[in-house]
Amino acid sequence: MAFKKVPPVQRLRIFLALLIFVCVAFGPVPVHAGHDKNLTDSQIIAGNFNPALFNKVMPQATNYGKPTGTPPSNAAYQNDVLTGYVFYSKAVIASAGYTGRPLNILIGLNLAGKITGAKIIEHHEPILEIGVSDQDLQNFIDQFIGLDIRKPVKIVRHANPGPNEFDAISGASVSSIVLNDAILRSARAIARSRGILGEIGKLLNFDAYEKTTWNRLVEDGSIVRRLVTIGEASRTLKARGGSYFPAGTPEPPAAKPFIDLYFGLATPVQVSRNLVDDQMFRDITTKLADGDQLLFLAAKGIYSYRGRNYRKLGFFDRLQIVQREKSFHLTTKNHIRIDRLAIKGAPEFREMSFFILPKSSGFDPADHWRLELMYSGENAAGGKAYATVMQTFSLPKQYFRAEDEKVSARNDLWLAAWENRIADITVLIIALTLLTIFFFFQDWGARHRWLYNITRVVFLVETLVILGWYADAQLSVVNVFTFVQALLTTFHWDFFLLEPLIFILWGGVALSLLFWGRGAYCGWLCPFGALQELLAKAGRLLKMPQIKVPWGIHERLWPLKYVIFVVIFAIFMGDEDMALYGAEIEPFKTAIILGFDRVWPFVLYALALLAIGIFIERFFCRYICPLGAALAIPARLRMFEWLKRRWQCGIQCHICADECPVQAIHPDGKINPNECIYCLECQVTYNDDQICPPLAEKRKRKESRLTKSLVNRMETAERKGEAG
Amino acid sequence: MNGSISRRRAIQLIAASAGLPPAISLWDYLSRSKSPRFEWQGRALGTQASLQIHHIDQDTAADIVNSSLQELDRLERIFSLYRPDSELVALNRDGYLARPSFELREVLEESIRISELSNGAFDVTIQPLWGYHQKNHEHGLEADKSAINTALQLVDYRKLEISAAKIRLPVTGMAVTLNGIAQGYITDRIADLMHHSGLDQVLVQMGEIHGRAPMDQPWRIGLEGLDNQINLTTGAVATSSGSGTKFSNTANHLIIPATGTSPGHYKSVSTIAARAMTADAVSTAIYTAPKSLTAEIASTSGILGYVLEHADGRNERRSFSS
Repeated sequence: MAFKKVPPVQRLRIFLALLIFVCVAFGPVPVHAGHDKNLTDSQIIAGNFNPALFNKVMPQATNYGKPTGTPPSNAAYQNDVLTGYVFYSKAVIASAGYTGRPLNILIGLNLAGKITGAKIIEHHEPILEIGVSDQDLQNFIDQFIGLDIRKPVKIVRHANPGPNEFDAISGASVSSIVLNDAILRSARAIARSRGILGEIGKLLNFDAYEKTTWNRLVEDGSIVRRLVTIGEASRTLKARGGSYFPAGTPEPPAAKPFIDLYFGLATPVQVSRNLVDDQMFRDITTKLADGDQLLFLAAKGIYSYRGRNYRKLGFFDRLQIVQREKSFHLTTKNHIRIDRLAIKGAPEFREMSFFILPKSSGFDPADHWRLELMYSGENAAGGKAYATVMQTFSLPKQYFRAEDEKVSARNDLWLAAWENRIADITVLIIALTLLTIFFFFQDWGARHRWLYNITRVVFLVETLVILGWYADAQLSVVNVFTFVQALLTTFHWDFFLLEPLIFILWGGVALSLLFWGRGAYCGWLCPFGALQELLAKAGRLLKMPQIKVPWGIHERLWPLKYVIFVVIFAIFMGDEDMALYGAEIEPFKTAIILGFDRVWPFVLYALALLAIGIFIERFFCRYICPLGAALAIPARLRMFEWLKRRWQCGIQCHICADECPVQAIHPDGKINPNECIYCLECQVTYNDDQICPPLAEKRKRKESRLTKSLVNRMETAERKGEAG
Repeated sequence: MNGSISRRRAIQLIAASAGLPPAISLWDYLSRSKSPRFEWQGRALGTQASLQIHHIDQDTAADIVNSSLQELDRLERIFSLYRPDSELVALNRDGYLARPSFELREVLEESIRISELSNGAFDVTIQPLWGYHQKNHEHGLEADKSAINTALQLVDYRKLEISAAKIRLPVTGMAVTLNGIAQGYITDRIADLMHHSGLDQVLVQMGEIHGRAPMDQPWRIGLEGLDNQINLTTGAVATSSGSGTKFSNTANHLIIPATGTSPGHYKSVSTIAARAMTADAVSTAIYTAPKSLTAEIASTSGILGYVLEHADGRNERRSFSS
């Protein structure tokens, strides 16, 4: 192991470059193009009213209602009988796209809580993946048809998934997770807001009871308070040209309550049973039908929320409940007067009520709502000036079931992905660790040809079979684009964390690029590279002729891969989806991800490359691979030069250059780090005193010196013997 | 009358977007914003609308914008002339509305107040005439004097019957439009709601402008043709201008109920009031009422000030202490 001495100026430059690279590679770069821009209309209303399209996800429906409600959905009818809802995921959950770009799925949900169909309307998903077709995504989504949305879904990676297990899209497990999340989360939101399956009852915990006091109920948020003083009410009305107290009458003290309101949701047994005595609690329980909600309201002060006329009117004209875009009017029919509170510590109230909100009203107890109280005064024209008091109520945490709390935070997505693949992750980390150890002791390893040969073959087989065919851990130039795109738009760690193996590999590659250049990845960790090399080794065993490309041609073919990379990159800047087709120049998907199970032109292409590779080793790596090109560019920053040379290399001897499987050694003996795959073949030769001429010569000299001295000694001994 | 309100507002809006008042001076509020500004732009009540709020937290800001849009949706179900499920459509269709919302009662009561003090220059029962003009306009027909007179017979705010139990239009054919006031009311409600959500800097532009800002950092509203800007801490600005829809040579969308024609003594009238609803109605009232009534309407309506753009291009500005 030898650190080459680096002059100070160059060291500084390397340090700065490293710093920049690390910042670029690992820092959440604060590029916020379009981030704090406006909320667009599309975030409010996504998608169009299109019955023909709706029918694809809800085949049994005959007609549809216009989008209504929050979140918006279209009611689907079968001969005018409600059968379910059709909605755009984007309108329900703020677009949970992969790189933060829009994802929109049209989903049908029937009244039994089952998905009737799903269709991708818009996506920009495959960008981290290796060219996944729309059909692949749709096939994945089709697995959701008939799914009961209450059941959890597990995304697995094998062809025979069990119940509630869905087979992930090959090479696109991230998209699989994201799509799964989008479908289930939006469907559950629709189910919850539309009262399908009594989902609300499942999510809310209204049955618990523990004796408590008034103050505790107020403190824990079960009951909220709004005090309006006489001064406040009077001022508000005055600003509107009205007066609550007729001119000439004395106004009561401003600090006294105009109205002191206490209210809350009383459906939870904890609230209703504590508030009133057992008799009344039984009464209201019999009055409440399943799904009905109960509100509690009590007040003191000079203003009455009931007013004088409510009996005659049949409704309470001073009150309303507002939840999102809905107003709920309270009728006398649904009013239950409370005469006495049984709870300890309650203030004296002037009036107390329960109000029933029937299930049919669509009131959602889990969602926040507000109480509005109207009051009015005479204005100068003999008319009325109005004012409104509003106070919001949000159901306190303790009334939600615990599992609902953790629904859907995006972080959970990637944690789940890591948990899911813990075995694969372990294997990968072991492989990377072994490789790192081998690299750190490469001098020692290179001195033992047998050890090197075994290590090399075993590692390549492991890379191909385990990392490649089993774990799909094949990097692609598409990953490079994704990364660049994330930097250009909004960088989110969780997008990258969603795919643990790719994430770890990239981390490893970023470091190894800095240490040793592109070779560590290309030569050791790329499954397709491993496949080529193993085939070439087999070919040599079978005495296949090896073609050595004349240096002049070879050197001029190198730039081809950079051209390919730049062209695909240019396409990517214009049309990302197009670039994915361009990335098909990599046979990775065909050969590794899909294991050659693909339409024949792709298979033929991959096989052709492999066939050429038998005669010209790593033909693809040398001249075509855009990923290799992409890695070679930052690899110029590498810090270590651990590949040893002698001054005679290239001058007196070309053995290594001839042996190099990718012809990365210039005729002058210099190793070209942009081409080197770090296979260490040359280092083994370097240490082999049977092959490396300067070493062999040294050995011979040493041997002859040894022989000479031996001969001398023997002669001396003989002479001594003669003399003696 | 389906569709008419959107057409009218849209046309008005084209005029407004062409630089008519009120417009907020852009650099002004950009320079003042220390906390991130969050903005929504879209359509409301058939016109272009925007919400701008200042809030540290993007998610909270987005939530507030969302709940404001829900409130807008809710109020459109009361006041809209083009939503078949709105209270107003039901009232015009049936001639009565049982159990009216208190929002509708509030807006009608305020309308009647402004009608009273403007001597009927502002009148929400103008809808039959307005609808007639609108229909002619759409079909490219000339207005017929006798038809106008027939429609005018139906216009009389004093006939409106408002109670908690119901609202009634006692004469067949009577109809109400709240175009001149409901937009202001909605603007107020949304501003109130945002304020209730804990925002201290709110500027709502939904046809009318309602702003709340800390005392030391007032919003500044620029009005066309005026060098000065109006500082707005809590309050609303509304502008009525005749350069919107032209139905005929003598009538634009602002019609004098007594004659069926449009007045010409002001190019535009902007009013500043505590509430956008009041500003909205009073600006229309001053615009359509005889010039001699301007001072009286302004002083009795409780507005904080006005800016008049006279037909000769002269600007007149006045403020009242409240």
